[in-house]
Amino acid sequence: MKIRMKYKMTFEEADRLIERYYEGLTSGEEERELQQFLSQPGLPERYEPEQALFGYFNHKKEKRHISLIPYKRWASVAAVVVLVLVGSQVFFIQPQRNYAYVDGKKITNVHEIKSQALASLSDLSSSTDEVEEGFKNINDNELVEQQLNVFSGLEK
Amino acid sequence: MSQERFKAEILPIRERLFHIAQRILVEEQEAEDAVQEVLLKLWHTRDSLDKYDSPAAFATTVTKNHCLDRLKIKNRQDSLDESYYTRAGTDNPYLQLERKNTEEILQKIIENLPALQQAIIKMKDIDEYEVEEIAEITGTKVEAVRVNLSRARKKVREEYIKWTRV
Repeated sequence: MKIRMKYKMTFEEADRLIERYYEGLTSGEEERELQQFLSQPGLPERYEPEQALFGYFNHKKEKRHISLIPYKRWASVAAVVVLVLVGSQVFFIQPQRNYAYVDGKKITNVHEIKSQALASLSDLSSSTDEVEEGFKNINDNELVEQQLNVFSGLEK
Repeated sequence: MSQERFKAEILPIRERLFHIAQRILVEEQEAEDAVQEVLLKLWHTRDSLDKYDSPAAFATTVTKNHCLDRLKIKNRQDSLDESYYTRAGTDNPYLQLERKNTEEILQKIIENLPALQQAIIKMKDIDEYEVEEIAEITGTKVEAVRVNLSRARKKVREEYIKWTRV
């Protein structure tokens, strides 16, 4: 990137431009240079009217530029914001949230987990009586709960 | 209405608008200023010109009304213009504004410029048009725009100094 040197206008140049300004002879570019000159602090008091005038116009221009930013521009700003938000979500989200440990082994595939869970459930007695009987057995009860916990963990 | 269509449909009837203006205002210079004001007004509202069946006819009506308004204002000003500030005494606008900030003072000064000068200084110093562009829109010579711009700027400076260094 090129570093732009700040060009300093001399008082003579500024005076000449101001004179041309009042004759209506300055271009937009020259007026922007003059505006820069006049916006610096500590200028002699004789520049006060021009400082006030250029400051006023500059303020008006800024207001105008803000109100001129078209709808499309705002839409594109909004689009960028959405992209950044979504992008950061995607970036920070852990790639896998659903997993289960089966026999101490981590399984991340949802279908595999489901089928493992169903298989272990079917290992249990399936008739109602047997299940009820099973509930009496505290160990089985714990086992069912464990298995169900695995299952409900998937839904989250 | 696009810039091109504005130039193609409105600018060619400038002569006709001028004649209407002169019939009402009599003085040539006044009619010329009035036409330029009307053209600038139409330029700023060119986006809505399309909704009229005939933008040219609309321009004619605007010119007529604008000149009649100008005539009314002129008659009113003739009677109180000069004595307005002095008669107001200690509570006159100058003294009131003295207390207010620079921006308000400049705003007031610009608002009190003749309409055409006001339109031109705003277009040049705020809307950032070049003098050549304004001349093209108003169908006038660059020099004519420059003269009005110069008058406006000098007047603003002169008034500003007067209002801030009482």
